[in-house]
Amino acid sequence: MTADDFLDELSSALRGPRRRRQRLISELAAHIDDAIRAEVAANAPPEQAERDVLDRLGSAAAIARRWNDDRRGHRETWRRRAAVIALTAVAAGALGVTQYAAGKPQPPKPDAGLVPPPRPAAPMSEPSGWKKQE
Amino acid sequence: MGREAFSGHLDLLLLSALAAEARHGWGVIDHVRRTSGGRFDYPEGTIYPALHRLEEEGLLRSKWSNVDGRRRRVYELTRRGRRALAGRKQDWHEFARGIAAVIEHA
Repeated sequence: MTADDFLDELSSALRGPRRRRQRLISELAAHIDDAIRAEVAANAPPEQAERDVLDRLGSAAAIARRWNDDRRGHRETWRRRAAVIALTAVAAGALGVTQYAAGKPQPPKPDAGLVPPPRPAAPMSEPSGWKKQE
Repeated sequence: MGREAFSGHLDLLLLSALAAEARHGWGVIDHVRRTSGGRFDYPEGTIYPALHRLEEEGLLRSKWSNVDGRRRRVYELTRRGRRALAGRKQDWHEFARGIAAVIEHA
């Protein structure tokens, strides 16, 4: 198996968001490049270096399994968080409805403070200069 | 040391490898291999999913960077990652002391 074969096999076995998968493939390609350079610098023949590096990486299937398991765990975590947020929102809404129904706190009256309270009716007085009819 | 022993402490090893400085994946693996005296025998490729997971947990952050003229994804600890590392190191030392105490009295 060559490095390209390895990366192709891994790429087809990965699940999850495309951007993250591409990033993983890029990182592994860089890893293979670095590791082969190090082997060749230590006087290993390039083909042997590639085989050794791929052996140390482990199988594409094993890497994909670890990755896919982590993806699944990540999705579960987010589902649980979303459920907690939804339940909290429902509970807060229910509490608000209960408090409203119980009159706590009292909702403000729509016209409170806008219309002055009615004054007691003033006694009718006759304009000065008028004479009481006999 | 076998793969199982390594696997159980993988996160601690990765966080420790990044404690002193930011490194890319190959640098992390190389650091763990050198500082452990080559004791850990583990498929190197599975380190990368672990780095991604630790990043999603908020313990690491990463960015593309130019390392020796080549584009590499470089990881570093977040503040939360440093706290997690301190906690896990303490757990590890307590665990190791407990095991040592038992086997010394065997």
